Amino acid sequence: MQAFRQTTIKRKLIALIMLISSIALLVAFASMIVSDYVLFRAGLVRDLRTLADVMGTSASSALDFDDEESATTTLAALAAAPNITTAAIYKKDGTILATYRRDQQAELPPPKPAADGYVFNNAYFTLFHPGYLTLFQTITRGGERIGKIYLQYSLREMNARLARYAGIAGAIVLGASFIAFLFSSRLQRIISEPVLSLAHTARIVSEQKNYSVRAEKRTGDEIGFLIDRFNEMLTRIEQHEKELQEINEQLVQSEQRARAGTQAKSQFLANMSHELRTPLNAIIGYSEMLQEEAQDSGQEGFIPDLKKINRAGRHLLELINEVLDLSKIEAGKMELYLETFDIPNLLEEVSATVQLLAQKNSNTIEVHCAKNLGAMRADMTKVRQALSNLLSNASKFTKNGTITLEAARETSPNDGDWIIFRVTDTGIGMTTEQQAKVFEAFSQADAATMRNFGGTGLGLAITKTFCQMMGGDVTVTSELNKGSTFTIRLPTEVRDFEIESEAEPKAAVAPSPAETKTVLVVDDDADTRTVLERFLTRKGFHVACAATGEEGLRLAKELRPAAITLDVMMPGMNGWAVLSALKAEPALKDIPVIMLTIVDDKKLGYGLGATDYMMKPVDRERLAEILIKFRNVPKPRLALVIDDEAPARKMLAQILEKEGWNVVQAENGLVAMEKMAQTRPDLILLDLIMPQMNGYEFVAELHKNNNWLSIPIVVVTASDVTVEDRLRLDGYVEKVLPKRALTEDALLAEIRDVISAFVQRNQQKKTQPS
Amino acid sequence: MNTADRPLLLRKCPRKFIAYCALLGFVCIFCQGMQQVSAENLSSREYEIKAAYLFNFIKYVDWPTYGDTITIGVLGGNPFGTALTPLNGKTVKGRRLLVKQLASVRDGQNCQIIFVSSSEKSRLPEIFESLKSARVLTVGETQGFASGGGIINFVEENNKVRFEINADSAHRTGLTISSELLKLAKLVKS
Repeated sequence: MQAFRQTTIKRKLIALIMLISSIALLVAFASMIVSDYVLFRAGLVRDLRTLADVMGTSASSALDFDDEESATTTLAALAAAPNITTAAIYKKDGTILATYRRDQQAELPPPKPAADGYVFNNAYFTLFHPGYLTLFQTITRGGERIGKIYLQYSLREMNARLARYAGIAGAIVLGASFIAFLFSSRLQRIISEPVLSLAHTARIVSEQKNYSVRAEKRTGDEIGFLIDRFNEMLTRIEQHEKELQEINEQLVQSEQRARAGTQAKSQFLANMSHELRTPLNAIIGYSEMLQEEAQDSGQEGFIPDLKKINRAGRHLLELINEVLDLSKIEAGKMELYLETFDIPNLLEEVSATVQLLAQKNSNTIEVHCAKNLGAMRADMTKVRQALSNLLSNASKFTKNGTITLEAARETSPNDGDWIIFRVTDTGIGMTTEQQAKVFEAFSQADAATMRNFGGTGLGLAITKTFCQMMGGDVTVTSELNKGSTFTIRLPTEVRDFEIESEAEPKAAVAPSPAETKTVLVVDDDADTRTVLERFLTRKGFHVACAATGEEGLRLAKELRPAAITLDVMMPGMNGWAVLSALKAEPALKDIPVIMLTIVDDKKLGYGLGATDYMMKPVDRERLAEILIKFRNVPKPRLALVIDDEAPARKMLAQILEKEGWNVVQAENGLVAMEKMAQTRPDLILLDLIMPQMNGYEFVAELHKNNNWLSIPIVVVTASDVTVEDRLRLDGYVEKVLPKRALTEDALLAEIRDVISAFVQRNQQKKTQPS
Repeated sequence: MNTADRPLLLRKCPRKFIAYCALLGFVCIFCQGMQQVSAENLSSREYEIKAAYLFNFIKYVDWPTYGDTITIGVLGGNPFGTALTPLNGKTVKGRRLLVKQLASVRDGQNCQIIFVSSSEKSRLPEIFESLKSARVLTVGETQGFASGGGIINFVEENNKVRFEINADSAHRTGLTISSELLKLAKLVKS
C-alpha cells in the first residue's frame, strides 16, 4: 500500500480503472456461473425424474410379474443416456429386481432403496454428491406403489462445463483487463496530464528558479482552477522577484557609490593630511630650530613666541593626525604592527610627553608601575597613542589635581595574561549619560566643552578602536566633580588576526667598517631636508642631502654613509623603491635605513629591510639616539646562548636581539664548542645542567683556549647553585642568575644589567686606546 | 499282548475311516435336505405367485364387455389351496373380483378368467372347443396348453414361474393383451 501511495498518478489511475473493470467482470461472470449452475441443477433433477418416470412405467409390468430379465432389458436402454452410470429397480418389498452399470468402474447400486442411512419413502429423493447426483423415485401405477427406481447421474459433464465456463470467464476477464489497460492508458491522460504538466512546471520553477514559466490550462475542472491559482501565484512571485532585483540593484549601486565616496574621502584625507603636514612639519621644525638658535645667540626674548608657534603647530598636527586616524579606521585601513617592548619604558616616555600639558593646568602626573611588568607584545605606537590620549584628556579636564598612570599585570586562568593600564584623574568627572557616549566619535561632553577644552573629540574613539583592534578594550568609571578613571585592558601577547608579521625589525645591523659619521638625508621637501640637516649637524653628524631617490642612491654609493634617512612619498623614485635598491646592492645593504615618513606602513618598511621607522613629524631626539647608536656601535656584537630548553633559549635570544645583539644558539656545550670554532662570540649566556656537555665542563673546556678567556659568561640556571659550584665557576663567569628564584621580568632586568655593564666596559676599553 | 503285535496304522485306521464316512454321509444328507427345502419353498409359494399373477393379468388384459364383477373360475382340481382366497372380493379396474370353483366348462361361460388345472390335461381340446366363442382368458399350467389353443400357460423356468402367451388365441377370443404383458411372456403359436 505504501508503494502504491508513492507511485505516480498515471499508474494509480490505470491501476484503479483496471481493478474496477476486473471486479465488475468477475462479479458478472460469477453470478452467471452460479445462476447457470443452480438452473442446471434444477433442470438436471427435473430431467432425471422424467427419465426415472419413463423407466419406472416401462418396468412396471416387469415389477408386476417379478421379471428380472425384462427389467434388466428396460434398464439397458439407459445406455443411450451417457451420464447415467448406475441404475436399479427395487421391488415393492425393497429387494433389487434389476440393476444397470454403465461399465465396470461404475458403482454398485445400494442393496436397499436408502441413502446415507435415510430410508426413502416419498415420491422421490435426490442427493448431490461431489461427482454425481443420485435419485430415488417411487414407481406408481394408478396410484399404487409398485416399486422404486434408483438412478445415479455423473456430474462430470456438468463440472466440466462449469470449469469450461470458469476458464472462458477468466480468459474474458484477462482480455477485458488488457483492453481496459489500453483504454485507461489513454484515458487516464484526461486527468493525469494536467496534473503532470502542473507538476512539471512546479519542478522547473523550483529547480531553475524561473518564475516566468506558466502551467498550461486545459480543463475547466478543479485541476484547471488549481492551475489558474498556481499561475497567479507565479505571476506574483515573478513580480516580487523583479521588484526585489531592482531594489537589490539600486542597493548595489548606492553601495558602490557610497564606497567610491568613502574612497574619495579617504584619498582626499590622505592627500590633505600630506599637504597639511608637510608645511606644518616645516613650521614645527623651524620653530624648534629657532628656539635653539635664539638660545645660542642670546636672543631669549623670542623664545616664548617661538614656543607658542611650536605648540600651536603641534596641536594642529595632533588634530590632523586624529582626523586621519579616524578616517583610516573608518576605511578599515588601520593595521597593527606588533612588536615586543618594555612597558616601564613606554610609561615613562608617555608621561614625559604629556608633562607639559599637565603642568599647564597645574597637575601632577604620578606613574605607578608594578614590579613585574616587563615586556608585552603589541602595537607600541598605538598603545602609546592610547595612553597619551587618556593622559592628555585627563590633563585637559583636571585643574590643580593629580593624574595617576598605573600599569599592572593580571593573570586569569581562563583567558590568559593581560596588562592593565589605568589613568585616574581628580578632574570634573562625567555624568552617566556622558560616560555612555564618551567613546563615540565627535562627542565631547558638549559643544561648550569643546570650546573650553579644545581637541577634536576623536581621541577616545580612536583609543577605543585601537584597544579593540589589539583584542582588548577601554572602559571608564567616573563621578561628577570627583574625577574619572579610564582603564585599558590589553593581552600581554596581542595576536594579529590578519597576517602575523614575520618581518621583525633588524635591530642591529652592522654598519660599514669605516667609522663614518655621515648621515644621508633623502627627502623631496626642501624644508625637511634643511631642518634635518641643521639639527643633525648640531648633533655632530656630517649630513649629505638628496632631493630625489635617484640622487640618494648615487650619494649612498659614493659616500657610504653611516645611516640613511628616507622619505617615502617622493616624485619619481619613491622611498620604497630606493629602499629596495639599497638592500639589493651588496655594498650598501648593511647601511641602516631609517624611514622618515607620514605614510604609516611599518610592515612594508620593515619587510623591505628598513632598520627603523619613524612617523613625521620626527621626534628629533629619538632620531638622534638611533643615529648615535649606529655611529657608536663597535664591531658586530655576537652572543652565544647555550641552553637545552628551547623556549628559554629562544626567550634569551629574543631579549638580546632586541638589545641589538646577533645571537647564535646552542642546545648544549658540545654544540656550543662547534659554534665557537666557527666564530668568537662577545658574550655567552650559559645554562649549567645540560646533556652531552654541561655548563661546568663547557667553562673548563673554554678556558683551555687563551683567546676565549676574555669572553664574559653569564650563567642562567634553573638548578640550585651550591657554594662549591660557585667556587668552581668563580673567576670564570660574570654572574650567576638562578632562573627559579627570579620572576621572568626580574630575570630579564638582571640580564639587561649585565649586558649594559658589559657594553659600557667594552666601550671604555675601546675608547681608552683611542 | 495280542493288540501290541498289530501294526499301529492298522490298529487306528478303521476308527478314523468310520468317522470320515459318517461325516461324508451327514453332509450328503444335509445338502439333499437343503435342496428339498428350497424345492419345497418354491412349490409352497408357487401357487401364491400364480395367484398374484392371475390377479396381475387382469391389469394387462382388456375384455370387450364387462359386468360389475370380474370372475376367476378354477376348472378341475384346485391346486391353489387357500392362495386364491384373498383375491375374492378385491377390487380391480373398479370391479369386484370373484373366485369360484367350476364344476364343468359350461359353468365358466360368465367367467372372465378360467384357470384350467393340470388335472384337465386330457380334456383340453374339448374345453378349448366349448370356450371357442366365449370371451374368456384361459390360463393353464400344462405342457402345450397355449400352443394347443389356450391363451396363457404357466411354465417353470430356472426355478421361477414364467408364462407363455398365444396372442392368436387371445385375438380370436376378442381380448386385448397389453404389449407390456406380451413383452414379459414367451410367445407361442397354435
